[in-house]
Amino acid sequence: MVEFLRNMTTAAQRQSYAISLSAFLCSMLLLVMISILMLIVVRGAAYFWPEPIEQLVYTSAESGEQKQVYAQTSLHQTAPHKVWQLQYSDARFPFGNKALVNADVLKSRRNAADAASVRLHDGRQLFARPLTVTMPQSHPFSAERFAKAQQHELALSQQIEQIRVQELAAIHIKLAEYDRRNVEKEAPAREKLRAQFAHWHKKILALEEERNAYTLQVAFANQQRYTLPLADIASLEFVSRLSWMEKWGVAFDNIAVFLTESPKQANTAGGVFPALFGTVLMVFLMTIIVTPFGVLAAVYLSEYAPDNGFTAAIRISVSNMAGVPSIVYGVFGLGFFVYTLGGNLDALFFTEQLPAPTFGTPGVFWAALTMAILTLPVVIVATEEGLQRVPDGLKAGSYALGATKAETIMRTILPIASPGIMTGVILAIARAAGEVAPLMLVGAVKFAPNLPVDGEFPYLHLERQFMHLGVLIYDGAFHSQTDAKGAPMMFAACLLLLAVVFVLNIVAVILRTRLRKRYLVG
Amino acid sequence: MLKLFEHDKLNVHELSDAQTAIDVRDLNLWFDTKHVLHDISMRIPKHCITSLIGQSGCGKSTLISSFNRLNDLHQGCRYTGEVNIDGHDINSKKQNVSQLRTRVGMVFQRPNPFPLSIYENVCYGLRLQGVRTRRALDDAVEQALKDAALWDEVKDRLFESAHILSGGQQQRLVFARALALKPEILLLDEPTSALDPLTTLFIEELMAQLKSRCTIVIVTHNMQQAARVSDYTAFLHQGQLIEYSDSDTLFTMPDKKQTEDYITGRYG
Amino acid sequence: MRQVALNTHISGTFNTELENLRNSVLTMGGEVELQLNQTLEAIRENNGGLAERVVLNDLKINSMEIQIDQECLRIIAKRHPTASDLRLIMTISKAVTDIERMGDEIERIARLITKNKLPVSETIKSSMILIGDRVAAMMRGTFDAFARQDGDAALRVYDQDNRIDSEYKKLLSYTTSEMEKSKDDMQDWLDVLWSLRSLERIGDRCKNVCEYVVSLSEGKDLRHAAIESMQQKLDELS
Repeated sequence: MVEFLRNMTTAAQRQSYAISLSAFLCSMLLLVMISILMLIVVRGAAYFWPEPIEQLVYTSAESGEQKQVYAQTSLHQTAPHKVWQLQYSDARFPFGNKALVNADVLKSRRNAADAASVRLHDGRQLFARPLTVTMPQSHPFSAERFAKAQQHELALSQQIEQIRVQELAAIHIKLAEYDRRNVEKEAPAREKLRAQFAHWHKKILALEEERNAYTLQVAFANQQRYTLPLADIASLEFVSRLSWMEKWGVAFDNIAVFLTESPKQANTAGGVFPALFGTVLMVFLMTIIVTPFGVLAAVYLSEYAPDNGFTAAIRISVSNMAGVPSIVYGVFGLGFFVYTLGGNLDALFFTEQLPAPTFGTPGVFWAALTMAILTLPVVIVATEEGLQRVPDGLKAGSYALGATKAETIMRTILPIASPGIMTGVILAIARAAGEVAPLMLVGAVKFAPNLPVDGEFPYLHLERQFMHLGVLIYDGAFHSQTDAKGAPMMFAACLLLLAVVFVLNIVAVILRTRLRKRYLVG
Repeated sequence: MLKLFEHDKLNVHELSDAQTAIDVRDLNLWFDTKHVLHDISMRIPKHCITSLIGQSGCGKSTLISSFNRLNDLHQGCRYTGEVNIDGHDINSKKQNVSQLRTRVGMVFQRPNPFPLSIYENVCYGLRLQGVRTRRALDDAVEQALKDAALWDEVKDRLFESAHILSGGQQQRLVFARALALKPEILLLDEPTSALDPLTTLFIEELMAQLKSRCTIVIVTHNMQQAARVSDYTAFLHQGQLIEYSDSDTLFTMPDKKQTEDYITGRYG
Repeated sequence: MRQVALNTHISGTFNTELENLRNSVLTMGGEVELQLNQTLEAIRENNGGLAERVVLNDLKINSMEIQIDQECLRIIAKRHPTASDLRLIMTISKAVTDIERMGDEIERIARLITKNKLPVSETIKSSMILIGDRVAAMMRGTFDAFARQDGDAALRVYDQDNRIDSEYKKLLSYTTSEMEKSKDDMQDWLDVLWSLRSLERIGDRCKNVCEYVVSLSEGKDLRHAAIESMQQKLDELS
């Protein structure tokens, strides 16, 4: 082939072949990238888009009897024959089940304008026709009544919550204090508190009784009825009746829920706020740690270190560190930071809490530190490149004005190298936001009960475990191998992770461009 | 006898201490194993322009860099001999190098303003010296820019980036930056080789004006420039000082054959 | 007409140097003019002492020529003048030679007086003084034109030489007739002839200087015109 090319073509032709080949490969790459992006965007966006509810009649493959359900359908397979995937609700599985239905057993399929999608606070969902609203008298369903009933119910719920937060919590705190002070079990103060507690508790029970009278009765497609307490209902939407604009509104609501709420139903419903927050916090902490370390190391290597074999060896090792598999860093973080460093910190400063570990367990700080080590080579290499690009003339100019080496570095070299430093930080951020494997060893968990930042002193809890978008996706992917329920959410989380990395990058690129413009040399 | 023209030239080989700005004695300099300067001894007169000429690599830049110890930046640079400024050997260990460099300013081949505003460029050295008061800085900046004949061109845009200036303006800014420290000696390392001929003449005229304020030592590849601006000229060849005398003599009747060959372009 | 502006160089030093150079030429010219006037006075009064001073003073003029020449050399070496600056310096360098020669011619006339060999004939003497005055006027005009670098003035001065030449011819024929009357002291007559010729040569030198001034101020060379007309004549002959 090579021989053929050499013999049969002129130099110009050979060159045009080379150009065509490289252009072809480049466009292939572009195609692959676009399809990845399209897949994630389409599947992720589908998670937010309200699908219409349909009423279907089909012959069940298991029992052979006819079934009538409300369901959201999607095409599962087209060849050799059409197969529909249903997400349906019926009396047996009120909160949704999945089924595959061949097109040939499908008897009828029509839009169910009277069926609503009812979403519960815990993330479950059901498709049914609302019948009556009980408040506490039963009335036929209407949107206004439902809204009114919800208002009443909300008022009751708020009352209950207020008592819980204000009164009961105060009593609990006082009781705990007595416990600490070893106040006797039968002391009058305790008795008084207990009486108060009983009083409030009774009140709550009464309110809850009252609240439970508010219910919504719905009917499934086969006319079987089902009653839902109004307190559990988060939203009710007649999806099939929605106009185009209203659908957008619902989609935006869904996005808002996704971004601001905690995950529910084992990371298959609800939002991803803790994961998003954990990711950003971890990346932020990592940036704070890695930037000064990386920059100082690079400054030493490029400006101070003697130009000998040892320095060259250090440089080579730094470059090689960038290639070490990330899981190795995870193991290192677990073994060194968590067990050794964290264990010793606990032994020194948190003795009163032992044997329960404080810093001796995986946590967001160790995760950030591990990621910092992981991304350190990237920052060092990029910074060093930036430093080397500082013209010697400028350095000499600074020295000639009586600046010492430290002054020259601080006032001249670092500002000019700042775009290079920013490049390193951008790369580090992109890498850290996307890593999953080491994080699972040093602090990221599937579900964390608390955010690492809250209103409790010292506000930032570096020792807490945190949630991470990557881990969430990994978890979702695990689910989807056995159960397709979590898959759309996984794609949505992927989309979000992409968006986070993209936004962080854009911010850094803008910053870098501004720095570059400011410190343009020559 | 009637004298039509007054050219009072000192004999550079018989300068008194009071007339001397830099007194170089038996200076030898090596970069690693390369012997760059061989036994240089010369006295550079005060308030005059002295130029160093010679081929590339003859050691002239190295020689002026040894007047503010900028050679220290190179690893593997060793030197012996004395360079006396104000009667003190600057090569001694006791010398505060930063302080020396504020007294001996330097301007380089390419205009190298810092990527800061014009104002900050001029303040750079003063800020390093710990001058903080706004008023003192303002005054010093204005004076330095006036000294460098740049004030009128930039007074309305002091806080814009120095990079908006043209090459010649940038080079004058670098002069101003050095002058802000009120140096006794100004070292110029081919200050006009990156500039166009007209700007070059401006810079040369500036040098002539600055002569009253400080001693100027200039390295140049351009023999015509050396002839135009300098009062005294030293010709270096392969690290050795071949001839050193006043420019009139050197450019009309050089003593040594090597000098004659170099300045007439007969070299090699 | 184009005036050559001297004082507009970026380099102030160069300005001063050129100005000094030009002034030094004028100083030298003034000195030569003084010499001529003193010589004429010496002729008029037959004052040997004055003539002796003129002879000695010529050394000063010679030294001036050397100094100006060196300064030209120095400026060329140091300033690398071009265009009008170069023309000015070359002009000065050449003019100085001519001016110095004028000094030499004057010295020759003065020597005639010191040797007391002036012809007794009052006619010759008065004619000499007449021509001498003309020459002195022409010299003054020349230096004026030079000082102002005025080509037109130089051209006008240039034409004056014709009259001097014709006067000289008249005086020469008269002197020849006088010589025939007293053939004994032929040697002395020769000296007289030489000094008459010197007087006329001063006019020629002034003419040269005028040519330089014209070529300096207008950039065109009168000598070229002469060469062209000669070429034309040569062509006609063949």
